[in-house]
Amino acid sequence: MAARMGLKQKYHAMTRDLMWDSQEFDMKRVYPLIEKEGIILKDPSRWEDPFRMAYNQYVKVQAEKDLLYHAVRNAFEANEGHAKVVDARWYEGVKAFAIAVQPAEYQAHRLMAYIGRNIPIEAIRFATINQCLDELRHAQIEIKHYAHMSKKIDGLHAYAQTNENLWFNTVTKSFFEDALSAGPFEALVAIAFSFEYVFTNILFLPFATSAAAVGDDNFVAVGKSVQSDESRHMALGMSALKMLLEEDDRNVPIIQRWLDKWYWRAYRIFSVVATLIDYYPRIRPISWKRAFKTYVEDQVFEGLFKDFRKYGIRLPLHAEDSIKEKEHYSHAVMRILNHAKHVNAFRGFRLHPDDYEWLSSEYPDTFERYYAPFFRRMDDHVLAVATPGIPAICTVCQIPLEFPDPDNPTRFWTQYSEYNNKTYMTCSPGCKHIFEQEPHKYAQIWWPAEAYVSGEFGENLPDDLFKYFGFAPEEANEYYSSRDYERWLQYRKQLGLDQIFTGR
Amino acid sequence: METKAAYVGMDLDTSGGDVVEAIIEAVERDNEGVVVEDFTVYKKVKAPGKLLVRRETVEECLGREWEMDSLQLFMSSYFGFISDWDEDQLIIHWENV
Repeated sequence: MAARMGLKQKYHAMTRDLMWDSQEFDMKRVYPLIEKEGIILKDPSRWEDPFRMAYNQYVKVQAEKDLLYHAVRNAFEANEGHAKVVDARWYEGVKAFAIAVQPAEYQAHRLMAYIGRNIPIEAIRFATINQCLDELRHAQIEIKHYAHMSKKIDGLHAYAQTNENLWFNTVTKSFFEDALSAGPFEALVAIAFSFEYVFTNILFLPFATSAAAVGDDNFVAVGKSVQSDESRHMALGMSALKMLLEEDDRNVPIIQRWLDKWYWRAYRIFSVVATLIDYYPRIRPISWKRAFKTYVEDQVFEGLFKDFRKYGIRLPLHAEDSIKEKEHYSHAVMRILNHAKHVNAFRGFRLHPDDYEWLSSEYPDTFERYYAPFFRRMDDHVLAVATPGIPAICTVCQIPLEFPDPDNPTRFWTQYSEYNNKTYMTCSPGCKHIFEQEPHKYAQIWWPAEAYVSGEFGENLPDDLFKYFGFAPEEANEYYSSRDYERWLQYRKQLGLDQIFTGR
Repeated sequence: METKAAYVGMDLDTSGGDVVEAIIEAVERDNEGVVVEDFTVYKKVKAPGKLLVRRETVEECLGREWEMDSLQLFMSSYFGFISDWDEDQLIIHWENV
């Protein structure tokens, strides 16, 4: 009988030598994509996942996490948690999360399966199988709660249809379809590194802190349960990147190109998160600006990228633009959401005096000067700032083309490129660069405004449009003048909660 | 000593209660220049260039046995490279220091 195995040996025994080379088939046909991207591998078997997670241990840990989450969720739902938050406009933000993030989790599980299938390296396969199941778990725990939310709150009652058809959801869709139609190594860098390592921290840590501040204990638990898997996902991204850089020098320029592209792509998809931190919570424990400084500038640019210099890797091409944009990001995106709030399943809202005060003190150089006048126009009429119809969107990130140039904030940053005798618009130099690397890919964009005019949404507009999206016009627009706000006040009254938060 | 080494560190879920408090105390004992930031639902613990978590020190602080493995229940995030993680210790570091 052998001596008791240590952690390292146990992990090796349970995860290695599980693959075999086929005698009958050409291995190039079994793994048809492995050489397509120009990545050169010499001895990837020396590569390690620092978490050393074997399947039996994985199942045990994850089951505990699920039990814990559902206990909190049940208690929250049974104790009328929705009535007790500081200000229920928060749930408009949770709906934005429901529409943007939940489908992202689901897509990420497909993507991890794709990567694991196509990269025959045992350690990567094990990590991607685990992550594939993680992502499905996240998608499920999130959706379970939306089913309950939809009993009290507008906008989610035809959730699957809204996710499938809402024009705004093309932002998430295009991101993942871009990664799924790339090669497996590019997909790995896109998701495991740019998405997971650089940005998910901001999503689940500051956003969970905000949830705690406004009293949404369910969302705190969602954030924590999801984030508890993220360290493992980050480890996969970091180790995979390091491995690819160390295997062969010829990989370096390829990786740099992917980092340039996917840094900006991930940064743009997280733009809505800036509003979830700075706008939707009535009490904010942290700002986007400070979260970005901590998680991206200090931890990634000053930390990780300094370590990567020795391989010849520099900062992503448009890193500087994102640093400049941090003073503007949440305001510009909230402005976009307010412009389009009459055609979205989550509402915009009027700001209160305490909101103006916080935004001005947190963003002294930009908010009052460039953005407050826009929000004040809603004080007299909630639809004063709505743009008619469906907005024009960026060909790459698919967010409406309304980002200001941070060097000249009264002007839009919109860029133009010519391809096949047609003009394509992008929201920023970052997205323009991405477009021009692969114009044939992005020229296939589904343009919501074009679909509207061509009759794809139906003939009886705008009624058919809402049917297509899966919600009614009353479920859109401004929050404090909505039926949801009235209902929430009634709901509180029934529970004897008649005080409301005034910011003082 | 170099004055401005980039920090490495971990974000620890405060629902870990006394275990997370013991991990933080152990990190403070075993490393120099440790900074702890409180974000209510999690705490960020960081040190310049390198951070060591030792099982023995955590057990001393906690007053009972503890397995290195269970760190992943509370380690919501980290920054730096994990260079070593076994039964006795975890090291997170940057290579350029």
